[in-house]
Parts: sequence; C-alpha cells; structure tokens
Amino acid sequence: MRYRLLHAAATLLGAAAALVAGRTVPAAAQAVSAASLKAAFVANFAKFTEWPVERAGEPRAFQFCVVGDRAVAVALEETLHAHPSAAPMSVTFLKSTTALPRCDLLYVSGVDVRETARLVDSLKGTAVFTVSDTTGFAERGGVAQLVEVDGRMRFSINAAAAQRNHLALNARLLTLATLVKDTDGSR
Amino acid sequence: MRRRIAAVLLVAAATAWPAQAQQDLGSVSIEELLKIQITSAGRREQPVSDTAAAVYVITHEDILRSGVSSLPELLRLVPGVQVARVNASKWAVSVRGFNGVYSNKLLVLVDGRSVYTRMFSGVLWDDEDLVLDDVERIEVIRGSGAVNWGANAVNGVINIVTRKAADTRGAVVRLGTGSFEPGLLTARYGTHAGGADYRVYMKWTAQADSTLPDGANAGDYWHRATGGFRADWARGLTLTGNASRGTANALWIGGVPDLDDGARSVMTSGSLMARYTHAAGHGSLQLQGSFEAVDRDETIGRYGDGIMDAEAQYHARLSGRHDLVAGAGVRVDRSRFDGRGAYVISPAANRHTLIDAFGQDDISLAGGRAQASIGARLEHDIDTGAHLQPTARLLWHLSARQQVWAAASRALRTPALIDQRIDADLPAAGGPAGIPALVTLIGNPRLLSEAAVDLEAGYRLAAAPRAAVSIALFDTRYRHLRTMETGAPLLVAGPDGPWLSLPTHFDNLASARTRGGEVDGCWTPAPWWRLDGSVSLFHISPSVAAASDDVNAARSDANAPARQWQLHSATTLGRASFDARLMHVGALRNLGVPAYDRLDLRVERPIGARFTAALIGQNLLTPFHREFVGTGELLTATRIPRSVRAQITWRH
Repeated sequence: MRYRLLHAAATLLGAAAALVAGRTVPAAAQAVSAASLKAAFVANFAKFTEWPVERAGEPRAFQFCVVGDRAVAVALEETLHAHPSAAPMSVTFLKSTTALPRCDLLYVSGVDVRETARLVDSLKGTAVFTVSDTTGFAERGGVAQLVEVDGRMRFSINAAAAQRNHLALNARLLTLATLVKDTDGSR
Repeated sequence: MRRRIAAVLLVAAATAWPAQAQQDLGSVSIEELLKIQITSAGRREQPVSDTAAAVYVITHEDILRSGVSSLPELLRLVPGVQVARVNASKWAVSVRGFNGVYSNKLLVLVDGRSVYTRMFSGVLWDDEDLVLDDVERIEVIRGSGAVNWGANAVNGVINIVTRKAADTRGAVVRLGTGSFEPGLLTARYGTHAGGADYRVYMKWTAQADSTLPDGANAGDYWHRATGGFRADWARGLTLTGNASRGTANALWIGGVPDLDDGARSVMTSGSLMARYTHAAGHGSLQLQGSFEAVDRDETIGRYGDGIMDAEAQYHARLSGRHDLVAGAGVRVDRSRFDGRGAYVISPAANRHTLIDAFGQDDISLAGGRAQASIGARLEHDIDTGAHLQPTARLLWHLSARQQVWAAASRALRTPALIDQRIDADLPAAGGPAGIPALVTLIGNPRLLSEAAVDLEAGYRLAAAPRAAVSIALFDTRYRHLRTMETGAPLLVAGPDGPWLSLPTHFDNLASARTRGGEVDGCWTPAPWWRLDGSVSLFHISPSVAAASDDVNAARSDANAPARQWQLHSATTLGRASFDARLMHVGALRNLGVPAYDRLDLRVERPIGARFTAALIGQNLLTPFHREFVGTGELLTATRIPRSVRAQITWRH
C-alpha cells in the first residue's frame, strides 16, 4: 500500500516535472482586468491634462471621484499608492451622482442618457474632467469615454467639452483618442 | 420565482479576490495601455462586494484549474458547503448542514432555471451535467437571505452561470482517461451567424467501480451522455436547451423485497429555457420561461416529472438612491411515481402549483457609504398556503477596501412529495422471536413547512496590494424540523409468514439551532503564485419535543463536520500551470464516518498552439476513503479511491 502511494506520487511528480521543464516562455502581453485598465487610463488622463491656474493656488489634494464601480476606485488607489506623485492625490468612491463632493476628475460607470445629461449640465463650466464607460458619453457632452473594442480599451475625447470645462488636454492624449463632437441635443 | 438577475450582477462584482497575477499598470505608457488585452474573466478582479451576504464565487479560472469534471466535485471548493461522495454516481451536497443524498434546504439554479426536484425538494446531482469549461462562474450564497431567489433556498443558493455564446466561439475537444474516470469526452463548437451567437456541446463521462467496505468491487460503474445548446441574440433573447441520459448501477440493497443488489437505473432528462431582457429608461424587464422533463427508471420505481416555470421581473433604479427589483412567477410540477415492490407514492400522480411574488429595495445611505436592503417573497403553495419570507440587510463600507454587513432573514422549506405521500415498507432491525420487522413509512399530507430564522454578520477586507479575507458568521434557528414518529407495532400476516409492521409517519416535532462561521482568504505572493484557503466551522444543538420518539432527531449533527478546511496553491511557470489542493473534512459523528484528508494535484501545459495536456491526481493521500453512508438503508455508500487522470484538449 505504501509502495503504491509512493509510486503514484512519483509518477505524478515525474510527469509534472516533465511538463514544467519545457520551454518557459515569458508571459508576453499579459491580460489584465477591465477595471485596472480603466483606472490606468483615468490616471493618465489626469497626468496629461492641465487644470485652470486658480486650482494650483489652493494647497489641496487632487481629487479623483469614482462613481458606480468600486473595482476602478480600488485599482486607481493602488496605482496612485504604488506611484506617488509630487502633488497629493486622493480617491473617493461614491455609489451615485446625487451628492457629488468637489472633484477634479470624475469617473462615472453605468449612467444612462438622462443622468448623463443632468451630470454634464450640472458640471458645465466647472473644472471637472468627466469620464465614463457609457456609450455615447462623450458625444453627449462628457470630456472622455472609455470603450472596450475587441478585448482592448479605447478612448474617445470631446475637445469642445474639455474646453467648456477649462481643461487643457495634452496633444498626446488628443492624438491617441478618437475625437468626437457634440451630437444634436447636447450643448 | 427564480431569482433576481440584478442580484446576480451584484454578486458577480462581489468576489472577495484581489487582482491576481496583475501587471502594475502605473508605469505603463498610455500608448502601451491601448495594446493590452482585457481578461474575459474580469470578475475576479473585483476586490470587494456590495452584497450584504456570505458570497463565494468560483470563477472560470478556478473551474479550469480545479481538475474536476462534475458539478458536485467542484462545489468542494466553496467554504461552508458540505460535499460527500456516496458512491460512484451519488453525492450528498448541502450548505451549512442538513446534508444527505436528498438534501432539501438548498436551491440550485442553472442560468436562472431551478433544478430542484419536488420529489424530495432536492437536486438530482446525477442528472445535472455541464461542460465545465463553458461555465462562466458559480456563485454560492450561504444563508437564508437567499430566499428571494426561489423556493427552498433555506440554507443557501448555488447559482451556475454559463458563458455567453459569444465567449465560446470556436471548437474545443477534450479526451481524458483515468483510473476512476476511464472515459471523458467533451466537444463544443461556437459560432456567430445571422445576428446571433450559438454554441452546441456534448459530453460523455464514464465512471469506474468503487469498492465496498469489505474490499469487494461495488459494481457501481455508470456513464452519462449530455448534449445541449445556447443561442444569444443581440436583442436580448437567450435560448438554452439540453438533454441527458445516464445509466448507473444504483445499488439499492438492504433486504427490500423483490429487489436485487446492484440493479441498473436509467436516468433521462431534458430542458428548454427562453429568456428575454429588455432595457428601457431607468429600468429593465426580464421574462423567462422554461420546461423540464425527467424520467428515472430505477429499481425502486419509475419517476417522471414535468416542470413548467414562468417568471417576470422588473429592475429599476430610482432617483439614484433606490435600486428596486420586483417580480412574480408560477411553477407547475406534474409528477408520477410508480413504485415497485415496497416503495410507493400514493397517489402515484401529483400536480403541484407554486405561485410567488417578490420585491427588494436596495437603498443607498450616507452618501453611498452604506446600503440597506429590505425584501420579501410571498409564496403560495397549494398544500401549505401562503407564506411571507422577509429579509433585511445592512452593508457598511468602512473604507474602499473594507465592509461589514449584517442580515436577518426568515425562510421556509415546503414539504416534499415524499414527506406528504410516501408509502413504503423499509427493512428494520429484526423483531422479537426472529420475526422480520419492517418500518411502514406513511407520508403526512398535513406536514408543516420547516422554518428557519437566520442571523448573519460578515466582514471583508481587500488588503493592499494582493490579499483579501472574508469572514461570515451565522446563528440560525430552525422550527418544525421533520421527524419520524413510530406508532404501536402491528403483527401482519404475509404470504411468507407473519411480519412486524412498525407504522411510522412524518411530523414536525424537532427544532435546532446552528451556529458557525466561515473564513476564506487569498494571497498572491508573486505574479506567478496564488494561495487561497478557507476554514468552515459548524455547530448544531438539536432539541426535540417531548411528544416525539425520533431518537435520531435528538442527536442529529446535521450530517455536517464540525470543522473543514482547505488550502490551494496555484502557480504559473511559463506556460505550465500547477495546482495543489489539500482539504480536511472532519468526522461525521452520527454517521460514523471518520475524518479524512484529501490531496489533489494538477499540472497542465500547452503543446504547440492547439493542444493542452493535463495530468490530474485526486485523493492522493490514501488508497480509499469513505465520505458518507447509505441513506435510509436503500442506498449503499462505497469507498472512494485514489485516482489519476490524463487529458488532452484541442482548441481551434
């Protein structure tokens, strides 16, 4: 009985070793979750955008607000934690857009047409970078929109919306983005 | 009646696992970000949950790495779940106790279709087969709060979600062979045509004999073939169907008259389900209908069942603070059992209708930091009348990474067909002066629903950067638990001489309190290495009314071990993956089943671009072990052997 146990274990370990000992290929282009990818894009939007100067005068932390997708908030927090910048930054997670605190960059997940319109309206002229993963968000007046295409993340930017909110976007962002315009019905 | 799709979506985002093997994206340029592939199994990365319940999710990757080929074996991974293999073809599965081959306090859904059997309010595990590669995830919700999901979800819900047809394009063929599983063949093909995504699949498995306690071959080999399809249209319509046929040596023994040991049983089943989802404005409407037919030709009798189920539900987000789900459903079950020999359901044909309505409101409080949920299910059963099953839950986000939650719920198990209508002569210990004795078990049409009041609390932490832990505690009080009451013995004159009849009927004279908890956690020490594990504790204090003479109820341990734990290591080295899982399952005191430890090892590696080879060892620590006992002395428990299996998979 003991022999059989040892024999089975040895056979299995031998086979395991044979399989593992094959070529070790570097894990190229490792796949990541949509949430961490979204968070990475959001962090980059902040990096490649200039907020109006009056903001610079106030000694306060840069405020990310994430609505509706906790995983993005956590991933963003981890990214900021792992790569601290000179300016202090903080992430706030909210379940809905009803009582927004002061935000510099607002990521909203899963908003519908009506809520988008309300949000864009209420933030018009304020220095808030709005991003969403909702279809048509940028066309309806949001600054940027993330979209999954064939398993990869793409983003579109509404330059007019950025201008309305007094945000200066780096050319690098604009060249990589799909540029969209306001559709009829939005401002 | 089924369950709330909204709840499923919440739960999907609820797994307590952190990102695993994640790349650090903080230093990646935006140009590079555009090139990164997104994982399809994106749900595991959701590190925290918005669900005020004890939830565990078996992800697609967990399924692929488990090395098992059947659903009940897969459920061993879940904390708080008891899985015991009785013999080659039979399992006992339960959540938080009250386990048995005919466990009756658990609801199992496959894509929203309830697979519970009215015969004993349980699940026929030998009838449920799926190509596990096509399962997206399995959500297990422990506790009575799951009552909103459907009938008999007293101790929990197991919700199996298959992959969308769009996620299973292409062909996959797998061939496997092993010492306990000599034959395994699965094939699946998925494509896109005419505005819809389709997949068709088939699976065939053959299980070898296990052995009897005395070492003799148990002759319980079985095999089963399943085929099915899923079609998803872009406009929100999903159609699924499956058919399956299995043949098992059922091993009904114990001196039941006219029966031979190890006679064959043939199990045939099929189902068809259609679901339509329509989103409009702030809400979405879902309609679902299904039909299932079961035919089981077993040695004790032939059982046929036809189940029709229809459900409508509406989900709406109101004013940003309220998330409302409401729905109604009807389930009609027509069954027939023609007993052979000593086992009869009287009358043989039964029709049962269950109508229900449910509603739940999730209210966001304190600026989204807290969430309160109030829900109830009103159920009308033609036998037991109308019942209200309410639940109240509160979740508090201590921070983005930490939550505490608490819940109070009430749930009911409506009597099963066998509880109400059985008429069976079961062998008992010999009577005085060598006269054979039989227990004459008579169903009780006036049996009450068993009721549970469940208090739960939990805590979750997604500790930075790569670890998570989840704790759930429960304190459940059961009333009107089923007991077996024996009347005065009768001497009956039979054709082979006199025998002693012990007339026995079901009653509701027991109550019990169960307490316990589960802790599960995971840690990713390196991008190529993940560790996860869990500990489950269970304690029961039964009490029986003075009027009862059911000695078993008074000393019940709910057929659940007081302690079980497991540890799993998953490593990925280059293209090879290696898994080791060690489990401990405590003794089943009343059944006299000793504790056992189980070690499973699995290694898998691609060969070329199209093939993957895997080698799987299960139960490696001992040559044999026993996990359960036969039920009602009609079903034999055997010893489960150590096994080794090899399989090769081709993908195109």
